[in-house]
Amino acid sequence: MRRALLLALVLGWRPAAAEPLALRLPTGGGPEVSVAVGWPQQSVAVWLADGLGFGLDLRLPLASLGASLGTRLVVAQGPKGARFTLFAAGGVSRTFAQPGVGLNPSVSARATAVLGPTELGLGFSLPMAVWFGEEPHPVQARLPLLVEVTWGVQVQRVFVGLLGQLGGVLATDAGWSTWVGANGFLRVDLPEL
Amino acid sequence: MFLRFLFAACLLGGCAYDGSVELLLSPDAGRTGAGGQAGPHGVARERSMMVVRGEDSLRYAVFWPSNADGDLVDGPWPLVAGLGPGNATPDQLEWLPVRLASRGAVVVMPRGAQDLVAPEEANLDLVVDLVRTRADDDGDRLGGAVEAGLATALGLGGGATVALGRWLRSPERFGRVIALAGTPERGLDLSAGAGRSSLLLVGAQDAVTDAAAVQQAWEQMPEPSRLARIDGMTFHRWLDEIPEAEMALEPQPDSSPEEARDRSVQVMSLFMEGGLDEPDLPDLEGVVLE
Repeated sequence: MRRALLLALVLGWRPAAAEPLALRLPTGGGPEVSVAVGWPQQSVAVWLADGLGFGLDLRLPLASLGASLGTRLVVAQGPKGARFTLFAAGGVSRTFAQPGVGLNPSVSARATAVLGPTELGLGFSLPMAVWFGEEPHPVQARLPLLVEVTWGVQVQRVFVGLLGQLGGVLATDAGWSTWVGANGFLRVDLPEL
Repeated sequence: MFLRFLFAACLLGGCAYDGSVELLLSPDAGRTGAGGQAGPHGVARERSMMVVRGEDSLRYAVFWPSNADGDLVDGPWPLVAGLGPGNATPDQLEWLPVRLASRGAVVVMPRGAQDLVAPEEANLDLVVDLVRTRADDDGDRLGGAVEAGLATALGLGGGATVALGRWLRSPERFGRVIALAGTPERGLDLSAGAGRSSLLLVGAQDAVTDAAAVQQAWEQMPEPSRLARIDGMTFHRWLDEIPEAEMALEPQPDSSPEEARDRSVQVMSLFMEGGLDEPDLPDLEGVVLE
């Protein structure tokens, strides 16, 4: 039992949904590529301009493949790099378990403190989903509310870190369930175009 | 590179649930099912995935009485939705759905993320809905497979706790519940189950489950409810592929695991057929029934 619990905490208790996770990772503010690896979500995002990013996400076990567009906005900034950032993204995904299409709007916010090369973040996220597919529940919607904690460190052009998620999710077909997630992430800052 | 990634994803559990069918037990008219042993039907199993909770994928396995080709025979059959304990794979409990299907039942078992059952309690409801939908489709291999009416919820260990919870919370889906070596979660309003049948079943040599807690839980269950203690059954004897170190945690009864499993299935079958309350109850050797 302890082994199972430990595994659950490490890998994520319940599947994070197909969502553009990489589009809300800690950002350097410029062109960059971000990759998040966890269970079951694998996500990559490319920011070519500060206000526009493109993300791809694959859910395991072969659950869905999605593409999203996102934007981010630093709404407040402190003298030592501390900031408050809003993220918004929207995308579509194709499910493999049963044929169907999902819509994936998400909004999130994060406050970030900067301590030299290290950043700590605390925020919340609502990675929603609406799915249109087959019976017995051909239209499903999911409304999660997650608290997210990030930690990362900048090493030259690379920023590596961890993102933890904890929250609840309300789904039209399954009521309430728990959402615990853990992801490692990596961001590579690209040269300015 | 992407194909390698997809292959790795397969290894993480997706590809085994690709909708393929496997014949697990060949039909044999010589098997009578006496004493809880396997019945005459063959058993086929399909492993598939379904979309739940907006976009999650839920893996499940469904077992049905089959001919030698794996096709459904006769029917409609009673529907059983089952869960194993949280720290075991469905394969470790597969003998039970195979046994029940060979005796005449369709059994569906969802497989939660990381093989945990508690965080996704509604999975049991979702697979019942899916099997019923498929059974209504004449073109589906499960077309006509299940009886109309309520299903039986079944669970072992932590799965029993979840099954009891769904039985109470989903009266529109579950008429009976079979809890193997498990108790309801604390604080649950058990009165919601009044008028629906429950069976709590525990091994007489079970050193993992608190037998006193099972007895206490049974005393609080609404009528009609039965408690069965199975001689020769330990907690680990419910499961296959248990490491020796875990087996050593419990005393090993003199009788064989198969005998204990036969006794258990006999009681479960009688319960599902409504026979546990019949006045001419057959002699259940090695079973203490309350």
